[in-house]
Amino acid sequence: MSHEEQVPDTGVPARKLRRLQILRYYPGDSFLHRLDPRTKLLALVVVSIVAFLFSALAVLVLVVLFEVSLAVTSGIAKKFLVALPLVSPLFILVIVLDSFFSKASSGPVWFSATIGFLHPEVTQAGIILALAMGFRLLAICSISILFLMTTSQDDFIRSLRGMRIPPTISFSLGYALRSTNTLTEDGSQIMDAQRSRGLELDRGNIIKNRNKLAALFIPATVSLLKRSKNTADAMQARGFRQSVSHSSYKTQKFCQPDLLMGLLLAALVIASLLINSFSLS
Amino acid sequence: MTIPDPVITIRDLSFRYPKTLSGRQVTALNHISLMVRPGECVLVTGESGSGKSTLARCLNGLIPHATKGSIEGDVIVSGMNTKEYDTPDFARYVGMVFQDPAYQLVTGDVESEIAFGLEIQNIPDQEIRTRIAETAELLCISHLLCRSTSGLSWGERQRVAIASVVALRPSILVLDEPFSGIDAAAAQNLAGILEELRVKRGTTIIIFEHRTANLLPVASRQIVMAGGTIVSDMRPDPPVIPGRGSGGDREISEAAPSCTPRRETLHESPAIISAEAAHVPSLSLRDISYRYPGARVPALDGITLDFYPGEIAVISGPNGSGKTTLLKHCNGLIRPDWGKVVLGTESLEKKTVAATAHTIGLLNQHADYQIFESTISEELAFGPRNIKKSPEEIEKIVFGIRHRCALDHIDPSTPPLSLSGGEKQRVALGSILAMDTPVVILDEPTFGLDHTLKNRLSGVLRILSDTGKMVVIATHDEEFGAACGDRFIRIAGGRIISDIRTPRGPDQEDKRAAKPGGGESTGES
Repeated sequence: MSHEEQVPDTGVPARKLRRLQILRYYPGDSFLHRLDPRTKLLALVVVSIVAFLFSALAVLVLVVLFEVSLAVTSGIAKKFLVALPLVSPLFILVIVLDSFFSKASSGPVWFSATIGFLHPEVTQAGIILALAMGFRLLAICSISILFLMTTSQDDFIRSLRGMRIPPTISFSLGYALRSTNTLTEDGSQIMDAQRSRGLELDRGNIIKNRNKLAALFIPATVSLLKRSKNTADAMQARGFRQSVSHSSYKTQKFCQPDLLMGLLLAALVIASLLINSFSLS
Repeated sequence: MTIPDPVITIRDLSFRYPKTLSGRQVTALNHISLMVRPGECVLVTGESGSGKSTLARCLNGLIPHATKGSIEGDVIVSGMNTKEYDTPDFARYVGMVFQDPAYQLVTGDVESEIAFGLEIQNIPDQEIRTRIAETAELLCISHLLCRSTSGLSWGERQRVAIASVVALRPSILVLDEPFSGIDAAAAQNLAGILEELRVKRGTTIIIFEHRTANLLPVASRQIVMAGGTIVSDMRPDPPVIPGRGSGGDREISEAAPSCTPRRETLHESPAIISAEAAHVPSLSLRDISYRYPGARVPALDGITLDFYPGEIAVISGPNGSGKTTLLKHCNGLIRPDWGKVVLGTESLEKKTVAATAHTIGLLNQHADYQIFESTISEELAFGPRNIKKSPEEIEKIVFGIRHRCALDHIDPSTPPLSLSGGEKQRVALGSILAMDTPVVILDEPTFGLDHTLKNRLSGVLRILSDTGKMVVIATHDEEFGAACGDRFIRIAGGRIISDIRTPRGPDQEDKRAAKPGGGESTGES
């Protein structure tokens, strides 16, 4: 697709930042894509609340399954699976820590030790709790990733405006979301420029040298200020004013998919309540 | 607009910027009076610092509302005085296109970008749709409508920026240095579009630009500025029939493009590596290929080039052809996916960029990305200090560089951040030249420099090459390239299209011939 082309005349963002770039909007025409951004925002909130409120493993697994099926129907399953490993270190850390240090001490004890003041213990209940925590994290991350991947920022901002949020806030939010790319680009250009002048950034400690920090942060600040001044001027020249509301082009209306999503969310909440009460009894 | 009343009236306008950090106060405009009638195409030229950009910003109230300073006199645009109305009030009447289109795009995709200004004017949905379609067609960007703004090239962004203001159907279109980021072909194309806009819509067009070659045929009036005043205002036609030029105008318009063909005729001798065999290349790229992560087409595709001492190589090519990518390979900022970069006799693979800086000085685009020190001398000394030159040596070099880069009129203890765009560019350039490396690589060094400064720069580069240094320049400024280069490499789509050496000029020729392997190849032509 054309939007995947890059501008060859820009610098290379640092490798780590590059991996984050998978977290972006992928245009499409699926069920999720056609939803009003407000509905998706609602789904984000409802799913997160469900994941936080219920701690039964079965509920959290259900939520994750729900999200996976959404990802599959919206045709971004592959991208979704590639993006998940980004949170995997946190995921693994939570599971490991919780299985050793949770205070749920019922069920058979599989491992117990005392290391100094620490008292790691692995119990069946502990493992289940740890898994539940992991799935909770997964559920919340997944719904956010789904939201990011299927909602264009412009649509999102438009729907915020539709919710009567003042243009200054809705616009700033949208612009901030988009600027991450530009800022990364600025950063790598500055590093390129200073490395070309013999500033060693590939070896040694950056913090050690006052000059190194100044050589990076001053140009970064200057170009940021310049960018904001220029952008503000350009926006004014195009008629932008704070405090005046604007018409919105292409605002989405609630339609059938939104109703369906609403029903699905309601079903999810009811199912969670049911499962939770069963697992408690 | 049938009444020939002026659409812009400027009466005795003076403007002074507030004092800078260093205490300098710049009088940018000095008693300017000007009248522009509807349908004119006015070309405003002038050296860097002559007040062009300041004047442009006065036309929609950015001065005095967004930029502070002391203003005298009146600017009346479409019947509104800029002192009484704020910039947003002018949006419907004055479309302003700024120099760097990247700063102008504020939304995520092209369609929303064009809709942005229309939404602000509370134009109904259906009308917005029609205007987008119509504007996109006029600027030939219909194919870009669904693209995201972040993936566009400079030229495409610029088109979108123009479209986004033209969609408001302003009666005046102001463009600040529209050609600074695009190559000659794109500039030609843009000039055609502007002409079409003027003819079809009757839009008054005011262009502030110092690359005038493509504009002279379409401009109906040429204003030259210097030191904040208007020094000449030629109007070859009566304003009632703006457009086609009379005798004098035509003469200029025909003379101007002819400089390109003249250069073509010089291009006849192909570069032959064997003629240089006795010489060891100071830098060679062997079969370099590189693809940006996520991109489908490689940015560089099998580039092999040898650069020799004493040579000034000019790399040109359309926007996005891979010029910058190629240069960034030369000192290891980008490591090739395939192929090898050899510096002298060593491979670049194991060296860090900073270590390479002992041999290669590379000037990146945009001076703002590198200037940070508190004084000009410190800024110039930063590079040499990094590559461990002695303090005495640095002092000597810095002194010489200030002269070479036309900075001697500025106090060396001035903070470089308070300088103007062209001056910053010279400081950045100087900070690379100060490293006194055998290889000097410059990426778009003429950004923001006017004719005089460009001439001075090409003089400096010639001195460098005569002392046996190797210079590589990437530029889309063909006039500058032709003036200082002796080897012309053209690339497109990441491949080398042509690689030609020419003698520099009659005065230089004998000097060059005296040198061993001096450049021109007599073997085959």
